[in-house]
Amino acid sequence: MKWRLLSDMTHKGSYNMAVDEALLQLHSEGKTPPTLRLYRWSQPTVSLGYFQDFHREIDIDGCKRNAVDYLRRPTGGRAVLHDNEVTYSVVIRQELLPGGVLETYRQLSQGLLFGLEFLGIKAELTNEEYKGEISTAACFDSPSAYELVVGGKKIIGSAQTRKQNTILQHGSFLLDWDLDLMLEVFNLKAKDLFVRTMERKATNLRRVCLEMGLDYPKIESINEALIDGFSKALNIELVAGELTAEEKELAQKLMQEKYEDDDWTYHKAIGMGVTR
Amino acid sequence: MYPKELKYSKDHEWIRVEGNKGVIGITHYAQHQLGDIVFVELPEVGDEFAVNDSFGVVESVKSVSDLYIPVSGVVTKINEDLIDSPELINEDPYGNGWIVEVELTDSSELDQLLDAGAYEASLD
Repeated sequence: MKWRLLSDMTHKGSYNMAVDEALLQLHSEGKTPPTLRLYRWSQPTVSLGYFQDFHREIDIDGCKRNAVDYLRRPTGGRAVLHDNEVTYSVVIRQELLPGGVLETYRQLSQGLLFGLEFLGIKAELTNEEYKGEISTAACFDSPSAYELVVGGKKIIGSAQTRKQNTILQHGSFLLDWDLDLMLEVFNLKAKDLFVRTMERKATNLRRVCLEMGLDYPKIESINEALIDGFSKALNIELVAGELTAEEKELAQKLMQEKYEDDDWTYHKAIGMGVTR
Repeated sequence: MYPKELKYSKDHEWIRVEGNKGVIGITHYAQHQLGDIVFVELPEVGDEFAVNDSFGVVESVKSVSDLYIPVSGVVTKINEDLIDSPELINEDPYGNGWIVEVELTDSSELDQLLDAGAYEASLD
């Protein structure tokens, strides 16, 4: 099967989320092929899962002091500080990637696993029974099922949404982290515990390379490895492409009307009207 | 797995019709595909939906999934137990895991739904 590859895009968070949703919507209508997108963030940005309580999880003053943007994702899961990372997103109709949530997670995670292998890193998928202890609101402090771990520590965290029979899964491959900045932007009851938990349960590419004596790869090599990883895992041909005019237009609209709208950002799960 | 007295949609919702009202939930197959449900977003009583509109959202294993209503209607009751116990959908999808009750806008829409046998066959 041929998929489209979108890469080398660095944008602000609200546009990144809007593009992911636009990809989902137009692919669900059969107007575009399945897509793998690789992207980055033009400024550090905290993202919150669909069901998370904004004020409970995020310190807005801390974000403002540190020029950290904040938004709510269309997907589930917990808070992530997007900073030095490569973000991937996959959009595909369920008929083309059948299976329940866990099964599709497993299949897509396999692409990430091969990607890490191409970088010379031996990673593992946590298994279905894996239930990490949840100690804070942040995503990287505990791996859950089918997450990518290196030496038991989470290095890529992913989240999914399913609308109109279409899957959008996106996730963060941590290249490096700034724990001090995380302490500023997450509302944490026990900051020491958070740092210890991150050190124990999570890692990033820079650390892994240091530990394994590998040269830290260039960003192009990281992208390449992920592209090769997904191609191998899903048995697909990725063809470099661009957003269609309709996708661009829809992304602009979603950025302004949804991801930059306070009703969406601060939304609590108390009714409909903001999710469509 | 698929009670005979219910009608089913291709999007894996069921409806139990009593008079001009219908109780709606998701099927055993759907809850199994989703995995452990940890959050549920419900509509409000009085909300009106057209057939196949998204009427709720669930989160399972970090996947947020829209729920699509099998018939047009106005919400008359919501299952508030799900807010604190979303796992009821997994444990008892046709009983305590019901999601909403609606007053049907157009009962002829029921003819478009599947019976248990046809629904089960569609899963193969």
